[in-house]
Order: sequence, then C-alpha cells, then structure tokens
Amino acid sequence: MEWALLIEQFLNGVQFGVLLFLLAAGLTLTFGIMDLVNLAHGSMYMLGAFFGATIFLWTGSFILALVLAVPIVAGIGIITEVTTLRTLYQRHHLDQVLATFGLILFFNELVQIVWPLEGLTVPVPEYLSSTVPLPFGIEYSLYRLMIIGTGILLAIGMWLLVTRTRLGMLIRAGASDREMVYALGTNIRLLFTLVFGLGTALSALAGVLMAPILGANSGMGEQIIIVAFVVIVIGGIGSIRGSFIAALITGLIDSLGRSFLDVILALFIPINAAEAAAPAISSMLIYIFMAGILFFKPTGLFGKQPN
Amino acid sequence: MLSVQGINSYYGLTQVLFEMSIEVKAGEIVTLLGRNGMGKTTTIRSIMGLNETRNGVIFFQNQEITNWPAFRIAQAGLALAPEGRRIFPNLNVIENLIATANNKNELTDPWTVDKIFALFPALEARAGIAGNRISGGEQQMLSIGRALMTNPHLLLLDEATEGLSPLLRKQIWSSIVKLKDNRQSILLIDKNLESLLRIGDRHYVIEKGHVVWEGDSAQLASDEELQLRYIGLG
Repeated sequence: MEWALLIEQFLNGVQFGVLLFLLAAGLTLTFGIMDLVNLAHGSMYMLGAFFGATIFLWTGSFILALVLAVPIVAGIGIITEVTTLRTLYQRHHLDQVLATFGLILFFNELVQIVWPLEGLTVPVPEYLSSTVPLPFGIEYSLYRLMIIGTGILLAIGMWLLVTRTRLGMLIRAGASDREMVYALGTNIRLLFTLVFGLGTALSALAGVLMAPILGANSGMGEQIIIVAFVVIVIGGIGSIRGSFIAALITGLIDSLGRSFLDVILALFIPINAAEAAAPAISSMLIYIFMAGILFFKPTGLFGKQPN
Repeated sequence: MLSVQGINSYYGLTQVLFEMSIEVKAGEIVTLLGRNGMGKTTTIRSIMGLNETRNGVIFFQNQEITNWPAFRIAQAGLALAPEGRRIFPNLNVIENLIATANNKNELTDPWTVDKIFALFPALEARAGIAGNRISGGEQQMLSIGRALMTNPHLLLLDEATEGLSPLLRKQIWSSIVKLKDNRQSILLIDKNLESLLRIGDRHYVIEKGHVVWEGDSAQLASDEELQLRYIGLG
C-alpha cells in the first residue's frame, strides 16, 4: 500500500464527507424538528448546481455564482415549504415520502425543461484550478481543499449557531419536544421555515461547489440524498454534531473502501476472490456500517434516547 | 382574568370535557381537584390551546382566546408547567430557562435567571447540567422556572408535586407561597389536599369532565363527604 495513495484517498473521503455534511445538516434538522422526511432535499442540491453553473457561465464569476445561487435556491426551498411541505407535517412518513418523491420528479422535469437535456458542465474557477504540493509527493487539487475548508468552516458555524444562540436552543428544544416549545410561546411554523431555509441554503451551496467537479445534471440529487439519509441515521436524527461526525466517517469509509478493500480482503482470502468481491462489498460498506451502528445504538451515535 | 365558559373537548372521537366552566381572578390561586382521568389535565391543555375545544368560549384578560394557536395564547400571558415536567433533556438548566423566555407583555419587573435561582436555590448548583441529568424535584423546579421566564399573567401548574419526596414537596409549596405573595395568579392541579387547602383560594372539583363542586378552602375543608366521594382522600 502506498502512503501517497492512502493520503489522497483520505482527503477525497474528507471532501466527500463535508459535502455529505452540507446536505445532512438540513435533512437532520427538518427530520428532527418537524418529523418530516424530505426526499426532495437533494433537489435543492441539484438546483444549487444548475443555478450556480448558469450564473458562473453567464458572469464568469464563481463568487457571484455562490452569492446569488444560494439565496435563490433557499427562496425556492422556502416557497416549497410554505406551499407544499407544510401540509405534510401531520401526515404519516409514507405520505411524506410519496409527496416529496413527487417533488423530486417535478424538479427533475423542471430542470430538463429549463436547461439542456444533457445538463451543464463548468470548469473549476481558474484561480482554484492549480494543485497544492503535500508530503509524500502528492499534488492535491486546490479546489477540493477549498471545499474541505469551506465545509469545515460551515460545520463550525452551524455548531456555534446550534450550541451558542437562542435560535440554536430553540432548534434543539424543538427537536426534543416540539409541542412544549410551541406551548411556551414560539411560533414553531416560523421557526421551521427559518430552519428549512437554512438547510436548503447549505444544500444549495453544496450543489454550487460540486458543479465544477460533477457538472449539473437532472437526477444528481437522488444519488447523494440516499447517502445523506444514511449519515443522519448514523449520526442520530436531529444532531448537528452527529451529522458532522457521521458524514466524515461515511465519506472516509466510502472512499477508502473503494480503494483499499481488495488489499484488505486479500489478507484473508485468495487475491482473485478478493479482487472480484471488493467492488460489490465496497459499495455496500456504508450500509453495513449503518446496520452495525443501529444494532448497538438504535438512535444513532448522538440521537436522543427514547424516554 | 381567565374565564372558561362551557367548553367541550375531545380526544379523537371521545368527549372528555362537558360544558366545563371555571374562572380565575387576578392574584388568585385556584385548584382543580378530582380523581385521575376526570379531565383536569385536558382542561388545562384546552385553555393552553393544545386541545381543540368545541362549543363554549375562553376569555383571558378580556380577549377571547378560544382555539387560538398555543404560541399566541402563551404570548398573551399564559404559561404551562405541564404534567411530567417535560424539561428539554438536551438543553442544560440555564438553556431550559432562557430558550423560550420572553416578556411580550412588558411586565415592569421581569423574571431573570438569577431570580429563578433565588426562588429555587437548588437549581443554581445545577446550572450547566443537562435537563435529563437532574433529579425529578429539580426538574419540577425548572419546569416552573421555565414557565415563569415567559413572564405570564397566569401560571398553569399541572401536578405540582407528583412523585416527589416530602422534603421536595415542602420546597415546592413554599416557593408557590412566595409566588402567591408576589400576586402571581396560578391555576393548580395536585393531589395533596392538605397543602391545597392551605395555599389555594378557591377550588373546583371535577368529575367526568365537568365541575361538580366549587368553593373556597373553608368550605372544602369542612365537607369530608365531598373529599371522600370525589377526591378519594381520607
């Protein structure tokens, strides 16, 4: 095993992890506070990628793409919340899954109508397109390092918001006992719309950041939202800290598993069998990990314990 | 201050309150008495807007608040310390006090965390401890403190001393007396008749979702048959 490859895959794992965190943060708060399963959260990521890519292509400014696309998509998210999701809070999870799956289809069609069928591709902004020399002769993408840094800063910001502010106290209190927060004088609908807007903004930001790497495509939200759900289940529904830790672990398991599982398996079984089994098993690794966590901690790493 | 006039409330299809009517005047401590399952908690939840009411009206501070959303009723100056305390387990003691604190009605001398600690000294030493790591008695104090921090005109206190040791009960009752001396109006549910007779101004006995008796402490104290029949206390 090469150290250079290991470190590079480690960084890729962290980058995937912070991306997952940006999606999982909004998901865990909406699920935790309003008990809403929102499959369409991934659509906001997709819209972030499309709006970000479009504004970047029009103006040539990636900063402008970030500054404009994030509030535009947050606005779309809030409109969706007020017009559609609000009617779903009192419904069963299955109803919520069906309705928000409908929203996914709606947004996927919408971007195919508005944008080219094949989606959009945008380059990495020029000033971020270089590589950074790291130990062991690694040349790592500056852009990916920027994503890691942004993700970690936002995670710290979210953690401060949730642990140090009145709004954060209400968010945590709402996650544990919504009715009590409401009965003590908080307009829980307004609180939720705020939280929803915040979660949508983070998701959209993730989309803008990923557009230069993955492009913007109809359906790109679904691939990642499944993994984001795995993250919030592992971390514990409603916990920002849990989401962050679980996102990093999940990102690392996924990235390192894909690169090194064959080597590890070859320690136990013949090399041919290891090479054949590794790709199949590595794509299941995060689900196996989730099942393991749930076996020992049914509420996730930092989930609230049932009374 | 509070006037509940002939409300009916339901849990699903089951009617729980039948023409329930009670009244609380400014500065009074009024109690709801009766066996379990007779509708005391539902009455309080209906006043707070947590249970929908049909028929009947609820007036608070000369406004009709019937079926307002609970958060607006709270902002109008009603505060609930609920049955089971329902402390936010993942917030520490201070956070529990300040998360929902407000002074919407602009009382001149609002509650502060320090004043709550003065009222319940036991809480001060637990200030940074998570809500689910403190004792039942401390949770009850915190629940009352959390409600007071919204600076209510009327405090709704459901099961004030349930499940607490005699010593802790004594502490809670003495704090309630201090609140009474401050002219805090309170609508109170508890089973400890002796303390209620001492502290309460007026009492309602509730049986199967409506009021079967009302009167002051002297009248209730002298009517042992009433106590035995509806409250089951010897």
